[in-house]
Amino acid sequence: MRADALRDPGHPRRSYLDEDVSLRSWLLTTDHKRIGLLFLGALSGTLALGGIFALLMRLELLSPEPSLVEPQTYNRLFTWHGVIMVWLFLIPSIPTTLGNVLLPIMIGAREIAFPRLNLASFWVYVLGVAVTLVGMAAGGTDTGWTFYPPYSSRTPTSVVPILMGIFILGISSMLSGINFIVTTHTMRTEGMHWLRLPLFVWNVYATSWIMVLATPVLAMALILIAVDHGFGLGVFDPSQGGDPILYQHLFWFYSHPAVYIMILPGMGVVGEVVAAMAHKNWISYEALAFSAVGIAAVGFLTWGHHMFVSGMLALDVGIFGILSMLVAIFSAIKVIVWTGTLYRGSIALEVPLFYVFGFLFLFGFGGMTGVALASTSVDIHWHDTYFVVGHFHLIMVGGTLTAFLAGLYYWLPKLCGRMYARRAAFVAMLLVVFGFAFTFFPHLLLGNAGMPRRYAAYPEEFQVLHVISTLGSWMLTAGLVLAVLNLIHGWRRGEPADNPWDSRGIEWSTASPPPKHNFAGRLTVLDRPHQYWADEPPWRLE
Amino acid sequence: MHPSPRSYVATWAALMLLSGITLALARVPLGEPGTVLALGLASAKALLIAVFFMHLIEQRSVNALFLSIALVLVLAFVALSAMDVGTRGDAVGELPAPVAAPEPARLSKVR
Amino acid sequence: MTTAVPHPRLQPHFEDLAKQAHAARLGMWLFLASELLLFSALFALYASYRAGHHDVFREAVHHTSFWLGAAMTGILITSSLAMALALHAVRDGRPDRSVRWLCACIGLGALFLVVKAFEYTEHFREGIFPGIYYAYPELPHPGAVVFFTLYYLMTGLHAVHVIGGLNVLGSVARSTGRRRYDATYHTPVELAGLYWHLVDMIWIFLWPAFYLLR
Repeated sequence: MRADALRDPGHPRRSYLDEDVSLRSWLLTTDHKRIGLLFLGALSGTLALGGIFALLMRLELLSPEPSLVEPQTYNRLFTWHGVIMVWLFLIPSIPTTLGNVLLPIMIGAREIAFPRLNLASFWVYVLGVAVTLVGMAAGGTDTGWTFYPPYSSRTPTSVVPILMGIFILGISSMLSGINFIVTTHTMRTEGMHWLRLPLFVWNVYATSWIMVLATPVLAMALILIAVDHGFGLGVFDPSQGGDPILYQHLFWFYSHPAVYIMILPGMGVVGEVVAAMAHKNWISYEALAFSAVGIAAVGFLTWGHHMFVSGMLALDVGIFGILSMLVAIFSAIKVIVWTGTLYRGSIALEVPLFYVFGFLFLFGFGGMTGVALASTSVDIHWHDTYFVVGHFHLIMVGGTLTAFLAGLYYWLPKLCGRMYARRAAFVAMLLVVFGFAFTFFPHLLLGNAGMPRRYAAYPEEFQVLHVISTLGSWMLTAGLVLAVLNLIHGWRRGEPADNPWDSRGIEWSTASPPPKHNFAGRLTVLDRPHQYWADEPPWRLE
Repeated sequence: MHPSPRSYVATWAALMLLSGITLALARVPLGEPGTVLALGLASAKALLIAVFFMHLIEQRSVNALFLSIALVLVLAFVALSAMDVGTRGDAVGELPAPVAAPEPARLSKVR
Repeated sequence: MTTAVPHPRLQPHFEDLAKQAHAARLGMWLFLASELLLFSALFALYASYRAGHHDVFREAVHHTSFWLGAAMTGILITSSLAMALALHAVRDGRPDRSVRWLCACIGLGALFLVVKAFEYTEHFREGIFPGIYYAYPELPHPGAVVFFTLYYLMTGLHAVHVIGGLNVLGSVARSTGRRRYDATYHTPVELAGLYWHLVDMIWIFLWPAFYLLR
């Protein structure tokens, strides 16, 4: 049947995958769904690359002395790992893949608002990756992904190409953000009021605001390091009247909201999966929608909690601490609503839901350690230790990556009309979730015991925990590799599937995979998504 | 519906007038209030440009909303950063007495 | 309803030209918001350093050209008027008049750059360079170094935006002259105008910061 659809332009099952299968049509596509898949391919590569550096670091950390690499090389490894994972993988991750494919469909639109700008966002991303990799090939830099001056201005390593690469990636990020915001505002179909938007859309929309408004500040911070490194315009140099702490203000003004760029889309996925897997309405749609906006808004005002020990005035420290705790309240509200939605639902024990369970457990710890770190007095003990490393990996990997996998598994049938092999998927999920736990829970203990971050050498008494962590990293890697292979196998040879979850998310109203213009007819939305109490789903497609 | 050329010229005249006032005030030593005044005048000029030249007055309010969101964020950012540097060095009472350092951890010989 | 031929400029995924224009404008406002945030990073530095080096900053403002600053402000405000009139003309279905106003805007923008170049040259002659190249004997304090480094960075970034703007305006003027825009479709002119007015707006804050707050 697929062959028929490929040949016949009028075939009823002809999808966006069947329209023109040439390489050129893919690389120059303006179809938001194909662009999402292009990003998915590219991001698999950057995840793998960032992961390789992580594995090398964990190998080095098996022994208390520098064994595998010189400390100077180790500095480059954690810099590359951080830069790749943050800017080449996590920031684009869910928005450019699942967001690109699903956002227009979820609001009933035929296409994204600016299709050519969308294609540009992909190729600008590729350019940014290329420039960054050129910098790494030239020896890379050893400043850490945070590029603090004065060292970043003085390092003999090739920091400028990497800064330029990140700058270019920032442009790609902003192009996506602008597209998503304008699409959500202007291309909603009949009946799709703001308070009927799917939660995934709310979360990606909130994320897009952060992308558009925070990224320029990062751009400026990085340009200023580059001009200092290259031309001696030391705007952060005390001998020229500057202040290195101001760099931290500029850097963290972006990089704290950046972590919300990384987690909010994951929260959107969780919201969708939870309702579908519990076959139950959210216990509070508004709480989930407004908390997303709340996280984005308040998240802009919490950057100082990365600088508690920098010498800021106590009043500033207090303000940032309180705001950091406030933003956690929104996350807590989400966790409560998700859990409440699952409670007494008609639970489908499927792999996406298991990833959500993993998310709830790991993100719960991540969030709580975050609130703990927001307590200034305790942060003084934990700052720059492995406790912080454990905290943010719990969120980034335990949260975002788990949610990303949940989304890929939940929406695989939507993207390609096929189902994955369940048993292998389940095994992969166990390896990922438990592998993650073994890798990163030791970090919390290590950090609390005093192990500083970014060190290749450590006291002997920390070795046991480091070994556990490294073994965990191998388990996590195995799980991720198995998951990727499982998804690819499902795409190519899985059982045909249309809506295996019997989900009432709006995106399931159209065919799986969808036609090129998303809907065969005109979609009218009648109610909020995921209405499981009603007899009919909340849409009309004619 | 669209502003007429006359309203554009009127906006221009208002902008030039406000600029003139700003110029005149700059020659008068006013200290801190002078800074606030100059920023206020600049904001008024920016508002005129946004509302009339950039047509916010005739367009849907969502455009003005977008601009306002950006402005609020800019203000928060500039204020909180400046507050840190501006108060650097302000002590908060007596520092507590130093505590004896604990035993250093046993580090193996580093190559 | 008559089955009208869709406007040649209407993209297939938009219902009508009005929606398409609204989407374009909204996207442009988002871009402008991001530009505001870009400059705000530098304004944050300026405000912070001014708070830290208060008296030196005040003193340093005396060493920029009061009257050239005023001239540049007047030039940019007038160029904004020209831009507004250019958009009005094309909306009115008078592309030739629009081209004339666009050229006036470009001319004033170019004049702004000429004055700026002259100003920079004067500074260079006195030894006022950014960063480690600073060699101005009258104001040796490090606070003055950071003032002038910020001066070059901020007015320089602004000038780069002016140059970019002139390029865009030039291409828009060319297209308007070739009758590619008319009363029904003139979105690029509108978007170029929004950009140009933003450039003016940013200067309105740069002006007191570097020329007036003495």
